[in-house]
Amino acid sequence: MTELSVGSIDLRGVDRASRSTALDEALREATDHGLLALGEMVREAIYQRIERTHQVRRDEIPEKLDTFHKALEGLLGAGAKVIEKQIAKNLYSRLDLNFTEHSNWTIVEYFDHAKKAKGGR
Amino acid sequence: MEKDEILQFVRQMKPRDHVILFHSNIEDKHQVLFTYLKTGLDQGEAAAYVASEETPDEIRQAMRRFGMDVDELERRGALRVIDYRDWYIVGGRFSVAETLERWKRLCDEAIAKGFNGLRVTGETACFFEKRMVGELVEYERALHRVLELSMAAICAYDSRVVANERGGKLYLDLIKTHGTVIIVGPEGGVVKSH
Repeated sequence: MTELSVGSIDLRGVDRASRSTALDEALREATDHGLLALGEMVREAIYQRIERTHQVRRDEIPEKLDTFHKALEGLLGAGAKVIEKQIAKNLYSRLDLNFTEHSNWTIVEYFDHAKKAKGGR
Repeated sequence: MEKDEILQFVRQMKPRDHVILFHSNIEDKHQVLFTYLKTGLDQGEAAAYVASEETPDEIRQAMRRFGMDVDELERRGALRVIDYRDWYIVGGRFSVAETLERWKRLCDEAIAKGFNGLRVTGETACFFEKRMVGELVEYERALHRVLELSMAAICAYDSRVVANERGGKLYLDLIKTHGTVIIVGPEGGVVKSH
């Protein structure tokens, strides 16, 4: 049986759209946490900059994740890989998933994997 | 943050500031570090550049392209471009205490010669090449001690190297342990300050 929970939230019997919403929110919160490694002011500056230059608001990150990833790389260079790994680790922790590092994965692949593991979209 | 804002930040650095720069390519590194050093030189400060990612001669050539009169600056003792083998890893060994003492002497000499202060920068590539990353971390922590002197410092790291070191942990540790971090990416960057 597929495990259907986001952290402590049991998603069994929850429809697919609601499940995706919960996964999306987990990603938003994990992103908040991962970017905090750079400090709160820098995190806010990054959100503002990416919204201005790539038209991705914080709440749109799950649906525009590839664009968010590219924007982060544009700002941080190779450091984006480290921050995205922090985001992914936090996301997996929220979802009660075991985190395994994949050197060639970005946050896009980690989120796709998490969605599949949780039976999301 | 636009790159112009980062350049403005380094122009305004003050003595005792200890900043880490993560850069993504050599061109960005030159632009940030040369802007920082040239601003100090224009203000009557002395400057020193410890080279290890590039050779001292490559740095001098890049400085000339940037518009710095390297020969004149070196002639009057305002600028020193130093090989890491004469500063960090001397005779194949690195000593935190000896390196800090070198910085102290350089700072004292600059003040004695009448300069208003000293701006220094060091490339850290040699520590990764020689697998001396533990020593580098120890040095970074200790560097605060010499920054009681009238000296500002930027330690330059290639993001591509640091991000892969210790599974990214070194990158995060360096950010955590420093008040001011400049990260320059291909399309801008960020400054984490106090």
